[in-house]
Amino acid sequence: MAGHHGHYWRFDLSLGRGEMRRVPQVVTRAYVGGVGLGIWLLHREAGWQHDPLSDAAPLVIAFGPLAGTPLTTSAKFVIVARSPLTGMACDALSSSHFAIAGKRLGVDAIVLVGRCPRPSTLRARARGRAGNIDAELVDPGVVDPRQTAVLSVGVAGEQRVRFANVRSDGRHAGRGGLGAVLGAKQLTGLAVEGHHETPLHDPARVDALADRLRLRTRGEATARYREIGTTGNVAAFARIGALPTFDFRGDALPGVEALSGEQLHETRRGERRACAQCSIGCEHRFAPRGAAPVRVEYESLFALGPLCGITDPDAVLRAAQRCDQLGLDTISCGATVAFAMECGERGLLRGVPSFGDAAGLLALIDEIAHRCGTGALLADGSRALARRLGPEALDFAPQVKGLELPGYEPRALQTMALGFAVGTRGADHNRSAAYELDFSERVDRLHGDARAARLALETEDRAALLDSLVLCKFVRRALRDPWADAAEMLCAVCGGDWHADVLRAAARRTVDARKAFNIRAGWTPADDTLPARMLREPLPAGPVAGARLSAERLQTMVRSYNLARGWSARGQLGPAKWKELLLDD
Amino acid sequence: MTRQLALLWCPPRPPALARDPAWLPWRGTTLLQHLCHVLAEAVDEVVVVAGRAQRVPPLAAPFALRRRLPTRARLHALAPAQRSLIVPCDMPQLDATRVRTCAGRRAVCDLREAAPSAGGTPPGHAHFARIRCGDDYLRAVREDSRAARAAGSDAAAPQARLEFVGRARRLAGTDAIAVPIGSLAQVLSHAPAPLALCRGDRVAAPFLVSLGGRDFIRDARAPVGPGERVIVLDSSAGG
Repeated sequence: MAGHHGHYWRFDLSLGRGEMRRVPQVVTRAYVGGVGLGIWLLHREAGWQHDPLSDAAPLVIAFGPLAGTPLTTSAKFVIVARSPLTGMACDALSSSHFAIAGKRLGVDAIVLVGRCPRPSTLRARARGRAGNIDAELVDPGVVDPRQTAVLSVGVAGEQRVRFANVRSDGRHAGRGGLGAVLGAKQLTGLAVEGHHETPLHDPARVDALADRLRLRTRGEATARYREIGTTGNVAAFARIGALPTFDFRGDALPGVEALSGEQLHETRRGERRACAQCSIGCEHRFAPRGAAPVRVEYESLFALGPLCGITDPDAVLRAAQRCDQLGLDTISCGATVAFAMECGERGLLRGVPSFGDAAGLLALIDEIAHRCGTGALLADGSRALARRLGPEALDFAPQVKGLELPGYEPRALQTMALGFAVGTRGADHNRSAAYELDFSERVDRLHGDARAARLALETEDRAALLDSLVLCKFVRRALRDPWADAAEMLCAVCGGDWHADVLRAAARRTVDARKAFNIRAGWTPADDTLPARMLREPLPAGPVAGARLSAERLQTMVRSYNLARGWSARGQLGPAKWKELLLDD
Repeated sequence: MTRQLALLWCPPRPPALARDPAWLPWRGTTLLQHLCHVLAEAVDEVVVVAGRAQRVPPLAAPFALRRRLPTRARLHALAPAQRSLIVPCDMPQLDATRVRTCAGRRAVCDLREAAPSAGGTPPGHAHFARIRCGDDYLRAVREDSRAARAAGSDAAAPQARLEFVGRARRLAGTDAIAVPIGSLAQVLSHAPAPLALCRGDRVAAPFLVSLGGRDFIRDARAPVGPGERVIVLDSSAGG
């Protein structure tokens, strides 16, 4: 099938040997590629059976059928593994030239197992005909990690910090700590080089579709990403009561709009950049005083700013930069520090900075990455820290299934709250875009209900589609109908009969496969919830002060969601669902 | 002595109004809260009645909230064996004097059905006029404001505040401006060029409007009252 190479490369780091394995065409058709293929391979490698930081734990790097085509934003890859932070399935995406170079190895995915005998970089080069790859483990210094076709981990990954990222091209595959999985394998980097072009079924049609999509992504639908980026969320969220503050306590934080994209554009030197092969260019960089510009997104601003009670833009920009340099996930890092700050305030933890202590935050970031001092306690994430401190702390640790919440206040965005609760990756804003519903007249964002639950599912399916193709989610606003447009692209790239219904089924299957993995890894229905404090206390301040989300209401939504997915009310998959996943030989 | 109860009913959103009447601004508070205080002057107890999923402005003690479907039978069933008055919360001009006049005439007096012809008050009198559309509301606000000025108040003509966030702010070149009250379309038309925030009766697709940071609204026929904040956001806010 064009668009795919039909094989994946499995490399055992302990043995220093790799082999090509076939991807059955029926699997390609059922899962499309990217995240779908990645989670299928993780099942096949029995990833749920292994401690994520053990030698045997598999890690999958998967490419989509659109990688290597001229379609805008298609230079993306997916890393899939069992998360050391959550113990559940985790997929992390990033845009990078690595995606194009990796697919040019002549493979649809790379599976890494085992552990390098010493810290090493894996260098893989395609040789001759498809299926031949020369691979060697070299000393970390041999390959320059700033090269574009290199994946690497920072200090945090090497130290197995459970929210360490994997980076490439200055971008990060974050959430879930997959950098720690590579770190545990003593693999500091992966450099790839190949010459196998992505086979195209109808190159002229692909070019035409690429031109059309590029044109649309330069229009009104994506103007906001170009002009202000996600940093525009700070002021918007603050005005509607959806900006989390003080470890999700929700207290008022005067001056927080100093961190808004609008004000950063006015008060800081800024510049804009684009990821590999992207026509949108959403990346906005702002310079802290006396320093070079720093790439920053809303999530970094929220987590390292208001969540920690900090409103000084220079401090937050420096903290975001330091996280990037060390290879830390900014959301988990900021949220874990904010949690520690509240624990300190309550007398549960000593030696941590107070809310608003920017210098303390900066020092703690380094300690976390190096697992030293107080940072060593925080390096396993907020849930692990809470378990050490006792049940009182677990009540307000800002996490779902171990993954720290991103910057969407659940009580003010209750459809998103459901997305967090049922997310297979944990509290996640990239696998469920349920907030889109909250930002509309279609639901009552302060009173989640069963109808909202059914609508939320659609956004999750659409995310699974884009993550399987793989295309950037910001493109979705430039698509007329994501299902029909994606089918048109796949017909041109892969050939064959792709249509919207096939893709809807594939997206649902991908979500089912993630859930199936979690069930195998020990998930229980009790995991699909939010921190107890959020279900008990109303929001204390802001435009939606008094907003409340009860445990009963959330569970009603969870049940509706599960049933709409075709699962049992408690979220279990029936035999027919398991069979559809094609996990058996 | 028989106690007098008032059931203050929150009607659902009339399509031509495009907003919940309970939340409309009136004399510095919401219409619901205003009527709670009007009724409290005239009766012994005020109970607010709203639909199960209906959002209601926060109520201070001693006003209680009961959730019921707003059918006649259910509302009347709420009225106990004491004298009761059923009042919809979309009657901004109702005052305590009129309430006292109506109260006590019948065991259950339902102002939603017909204004009672008691105390010389003819049916359809302005005090019992209900708000059915944006124009009804805006007319009532303006008349109320004129009456206040005629009575010696130095209050200025009623204004709302138009705030810009995100891309809208960059295009507007300002944070916020004060604008006269009107329909949402009229309010948004004051945005500086090149911002074009409405298309027909709807807010233009790239933008999203929040009233006071609570409700999102796309229907540009909705009225905007005095002191309200109209926040213009990007429709792609979030990610």
